[in-house]
Amino acid sequence: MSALTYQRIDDAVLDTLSPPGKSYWTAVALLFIGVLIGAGCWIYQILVGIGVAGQNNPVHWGTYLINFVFWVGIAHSGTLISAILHLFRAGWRNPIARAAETMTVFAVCTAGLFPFIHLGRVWMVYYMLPLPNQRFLWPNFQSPLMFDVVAISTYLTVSSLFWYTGMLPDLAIIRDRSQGVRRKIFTVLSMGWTGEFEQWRHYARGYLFFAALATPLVISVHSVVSWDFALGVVPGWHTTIFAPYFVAGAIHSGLAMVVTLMIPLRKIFRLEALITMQVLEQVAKTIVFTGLIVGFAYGTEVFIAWYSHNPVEVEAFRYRAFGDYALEYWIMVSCNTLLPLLFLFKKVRTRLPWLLIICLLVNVGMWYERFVIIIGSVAHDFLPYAWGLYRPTIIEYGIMLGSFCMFFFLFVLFVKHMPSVSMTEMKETLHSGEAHGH
Amino acid sequence: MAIDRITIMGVFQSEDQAACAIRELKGSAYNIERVHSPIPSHVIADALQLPKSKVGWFTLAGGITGFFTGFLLAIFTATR
Repeated sequence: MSALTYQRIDDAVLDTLSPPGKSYWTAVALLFIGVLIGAGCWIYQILVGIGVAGQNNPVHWGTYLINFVFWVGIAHSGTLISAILHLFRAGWRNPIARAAETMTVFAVCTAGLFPFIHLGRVWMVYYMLPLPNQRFLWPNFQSPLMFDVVAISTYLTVSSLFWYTGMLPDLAIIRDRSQGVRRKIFTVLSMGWTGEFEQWRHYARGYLFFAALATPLVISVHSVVSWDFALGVVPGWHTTIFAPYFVAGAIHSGLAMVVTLMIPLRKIFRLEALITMQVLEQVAKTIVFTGLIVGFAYGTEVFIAWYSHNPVEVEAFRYRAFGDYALEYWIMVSCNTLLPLLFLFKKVRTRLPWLLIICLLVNVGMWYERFVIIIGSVAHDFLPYAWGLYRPTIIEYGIMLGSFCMFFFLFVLFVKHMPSVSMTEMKETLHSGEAHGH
Repeated sequence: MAIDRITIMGVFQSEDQAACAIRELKGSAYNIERVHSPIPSHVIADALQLPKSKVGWFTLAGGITGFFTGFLLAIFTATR
């Protein structure tokens, strides 16, 4: 880190904004095709009806809810890295904070689409808003689905503002170094930032407040998402452990996604001097920690079921481990809790291929965690005659592909047009190893 | 035309040098117009002795408004 100077930080980050080559636009085009496939599947579903998706008795919540929870989870680590680690003065978060915040904003946008998709008749979306319907009935705020609308929209607002506020000084640097149309665009985006102390005074205070308020928000939003399930009297869902279990899982998956995004980013844009191996190592160590919490939660769930002597709960957890979805369950357990333990070995956590492979598998494991929780519980609840199986249809796979492509499409566009590493925070790291907002 | 005002600009390599210059200027007849910096430096902020930002009050007002609006909305819709 000592070889870095202000100039080198600016140059390294501004180099990422240089005109892209053919391979970049090819990647953008491929991702856009994926987005179009997803959009096409959704339009088909709107025209034909929600029946084209595989959700039916008894599994009414399929991949749409799985993907919703998955993307909300991914969104959480951005704010963890930005806000919580900022408050803890963890200097290693500075090189990855911007990319993590960006990931948060795009992941919330992607997650936010799924309730719309799941509605079927999407034009009835105003039923979710605090507006009276034709019969002057208002939404029921006692429903966790209403909590969700409020929580997700609050989280999107706060994380977007936090992201944009942190970017202001960097946008001004780009403005000062560019010409023509780009200069005009960045003049508007940087909102008159000059780096004057009068501005820093308010900025540092504002950033600190954002961090302080975003921290409880991270915890509350995913707790609310968990209550979508925990408030339903379904075996495997109706448990008090759900909120912390979901929050830990969200952070676990988000950290894995950060590494998944960071490794190609530093390789493609040659940001090795900024996003050092040490930074990735710290994230890997945090993944071990969150993985252990998630593993503890898996164990606690089984213990609660056994200790409760509730035969339905016991059967729900026996079914998870040895029933029709046993493969998914064991993928979840091994990818989320066992594989991250390999990061305890320095040789594993300091090798990029291992880091990338394990983090990708954690992402897979976290997707399956939501599959196991959502599908496994409703497929096999109280009454044996109502048990049933679920498999996603091709339309659901198409929409899922579209959602992944949309997330990466937005991220790829961002890294080439906006500063993907915070220049200001990197400069502060040179001084104190800390972030701003003192 | 008579010169009634002299403006001097100083460029410093480190925040300590800048802070030192600010302290010196504070004790002289010169006024400090503006201080720019690429980072929100503690040291410079302390030397400038700027008042605390009022952003916190804005946040508090927003928090109170949001809290009561949320509760009132829930109460209003539940009693309709």
